[in-house]
Amino acid sequence: FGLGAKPIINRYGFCVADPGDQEPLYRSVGGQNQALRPRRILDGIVDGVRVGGNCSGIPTTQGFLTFHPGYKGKPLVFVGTVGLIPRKTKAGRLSHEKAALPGDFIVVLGGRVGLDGIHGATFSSEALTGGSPATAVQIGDPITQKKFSDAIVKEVRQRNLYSSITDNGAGGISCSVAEMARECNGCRVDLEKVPVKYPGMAPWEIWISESQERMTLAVPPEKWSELETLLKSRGVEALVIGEFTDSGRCQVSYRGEKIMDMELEFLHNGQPAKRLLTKVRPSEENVVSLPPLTELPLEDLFSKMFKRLNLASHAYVSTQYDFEVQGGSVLKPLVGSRQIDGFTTVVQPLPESSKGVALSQSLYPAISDLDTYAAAATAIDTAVRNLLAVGTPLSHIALLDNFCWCSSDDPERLWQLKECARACYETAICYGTPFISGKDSMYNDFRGFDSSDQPVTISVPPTILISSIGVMSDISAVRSFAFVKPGDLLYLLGSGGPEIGASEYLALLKEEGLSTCDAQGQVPKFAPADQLPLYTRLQEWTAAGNFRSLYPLAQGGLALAAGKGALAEGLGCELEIPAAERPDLFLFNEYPGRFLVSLTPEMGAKFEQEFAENCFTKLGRVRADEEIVITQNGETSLQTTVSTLLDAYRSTFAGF
Amino acid sequence: MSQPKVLLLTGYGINCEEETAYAFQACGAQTAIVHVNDLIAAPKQLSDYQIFVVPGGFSYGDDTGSGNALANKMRHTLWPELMDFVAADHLVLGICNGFQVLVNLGLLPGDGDNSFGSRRVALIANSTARYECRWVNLLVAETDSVFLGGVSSLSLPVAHGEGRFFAPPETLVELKQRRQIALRYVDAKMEPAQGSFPANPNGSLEDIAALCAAKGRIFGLMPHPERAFRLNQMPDWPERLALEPDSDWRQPGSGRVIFKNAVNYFS
Repeated sequence: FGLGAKPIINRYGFCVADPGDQEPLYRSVGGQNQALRPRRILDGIVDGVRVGGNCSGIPTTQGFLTFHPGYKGKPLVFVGTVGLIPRKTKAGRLSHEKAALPGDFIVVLGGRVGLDGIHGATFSSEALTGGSPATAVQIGDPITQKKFSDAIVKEVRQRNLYSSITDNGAGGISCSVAEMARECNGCRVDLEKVPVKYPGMAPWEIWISESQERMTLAVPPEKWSELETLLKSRGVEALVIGEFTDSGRCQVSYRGEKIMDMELEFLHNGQPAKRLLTKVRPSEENVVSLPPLTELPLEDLFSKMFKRLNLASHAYVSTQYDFEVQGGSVLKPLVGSRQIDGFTTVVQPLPESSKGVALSQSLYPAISDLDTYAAAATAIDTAVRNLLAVGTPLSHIALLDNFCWCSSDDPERLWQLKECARACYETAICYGTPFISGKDSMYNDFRGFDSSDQPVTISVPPTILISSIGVMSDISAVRSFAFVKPGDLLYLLGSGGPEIGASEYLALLKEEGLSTCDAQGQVPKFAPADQLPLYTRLQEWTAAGNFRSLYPLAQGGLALAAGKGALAEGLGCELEIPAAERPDLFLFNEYPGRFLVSLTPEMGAKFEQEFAENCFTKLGRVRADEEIVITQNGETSLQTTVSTLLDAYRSTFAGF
Repeated sequence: MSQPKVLLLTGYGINCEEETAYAFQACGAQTAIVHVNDLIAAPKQLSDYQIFVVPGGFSYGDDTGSGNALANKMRHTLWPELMDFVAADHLVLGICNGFQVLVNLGLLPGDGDNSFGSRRVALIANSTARYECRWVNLLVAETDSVFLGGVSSLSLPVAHGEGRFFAPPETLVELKQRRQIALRYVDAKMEPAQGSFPANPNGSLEDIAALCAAKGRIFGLMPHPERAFRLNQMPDWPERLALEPDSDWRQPGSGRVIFKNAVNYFS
């Protein structure tokens, strides 16, 4: 609500190491200053989002957990909020336009300032070492926020009591006030007027503290008394700490003493551009050798895929978050009577409007190790496809990027970043899906020691998270991935390939000792432009409500899509693998651009006709019982049951 | 009287007032969302209303126990007006955190006919020791709740960390005799949950999910009926759409009947 929008959806994403990893890490030598273990970190992150989200009365519908050894030193935590705001205010002004005027009071409201959150912004972009400050972390109190967010969104905004508004994030008031000062070209702040949690804070600490739950407003003097009275009656502390000016300067004092007096122009644009060098990272010859199919226990591998950290049920997290508050959750985080984790959620923000907001995301950190261009392009494709699959039109999808990089002074790492950014640009242009926001965090590295005092450096894999948001005009287009009726036809839409580089399947083979090959393999190569005809046709079909279910293939490939489709309502399926395909690669490859769809038998002929120019494979049908039967040339390749898979799927995090 | 007026409390972390107000409006009531401080400043306004609602949320962050701080605030500032309100032929509804408030306030289950004020039962931390957001099935118990007239079962979501009902044995006997137990958690086959998770999501004694008092005019429940007001809020809606693409999302969900009953009480 940096603009006074009503927060309507919260989202989350946690990148952590294997919670079963017990090998200790230390920030200092001699077994001193032990880093938290992955399980403890995960539990803490889950709790933090629970308290913050639930107490705020904002539904936390959409999220993900991603596991990778590279997140052991420094986990990544992503949280975000979707806001709803009228296009225009009652006064006829566009809601996103704001302008502090010279003479407006600078008003801070909400929580008080303390020593918590000092250097928070710089801390998040530095390698974590023994010297990292403990006070960098803010101490939150969601109820303080809830009190003033209710007041602002439901009362202050309507009464038009401010001319500009900004939330206090990184840098605290030093950023919020200085940013707003650009609107009128100047500000003057008396730091002793800023409410503090306790005495003894130095002026510079007050100026930059990132203590949470605070907003900065520009309030015309004649409106201050009305605002002050209203906020007081809502239990919200608000104080005038200075005024906006047109002096062209940012002037800060403390008890009459000058602390800072700087040209605004220099403050905002004074830093000289940094020149950095990149160097092409050579790609390795990377061909994996796989054991012959006859040596592989396919049925066993199939259920083990459902146990993998990245593919197993994370329902223990989503059920701790209130995804129902505000009453708009229509496609929920868990799907079907068996409550299987979904990939996209849909919220209907207004009870009388048929419009829906769809949210999803995608990231492929494992691919980043090999090819950051492919990692970004694949993530964008998946994040977009996840929305298409629930009935969102391509024309109403927007993206957000989060670059979380490591050792960014290294020219090869910088080159990887450049390749990643190029993929973001080219893929987004191709799909016509604009990036509307984003954020980055560099230097996600840990430098410390193991238990025998050997130096250890752990860097996150270059991580590009793509979050997607879409608006659909009619929520009746929503479909889940659950198979709903025996006899329904199953088709694979889109074309794939045999590459399994950086896939969950290859990782499983290595963990099981079934592949001794060191190589990471080739990652799927695909051209987004080739996908457009399929996506265009698909969205006509979703709008018409012609599908019974859709699953956009991602990690785990077709196996995961078919398995989860079957698990959701406990209906099995039979799939015939094309004669030319190697069964395991066909089932487990993670090629982007594809969907598993189910439709009524009556719709089959029409489907095959209308999708004739797009690539599809007729796979089989939904069964009335719980059997999952996969055949090739009429012979059974593997057979399992819904209950076997469900047990596997729920087992990994059963004790969490 | 045909159109009752509903006062819904807000402030200090209450967060379900808007969707609850919408549910009452859509059933034909007039609604007003009133900040608790504004009600305290002018408590007599309560007599302008026929239905008083404490919606769900996190009043005072649950920091001193769910619903405790808000209940104390109301006890010290609004008690005479609340007693007058209850003595008249009016309705009181507490949902989730609102139910916790009514229990702490002694409005539920009460000390007997038209006598209120002592805290006789408790809603304590869930047996799973964590917040649970999930859908549950409920069976209407032998009760006189005005809100549950004509209802035999419900499917509603719960979302709370402290919803485990507890009462001493003698109170439990009394609650049964006085038909004050309103809802019980049941499993998917509508058999008693018998305390087992997740059918009973919090470990409530005897699977108790809701209470009523004052001949069913005061009603408090842990689940959220306002989140099951329309068909498309129900968890099986996407699969239902797949089977019946023309089904209308505006159709009633399982919880609407509770609001309808409340409004119809005044018709």
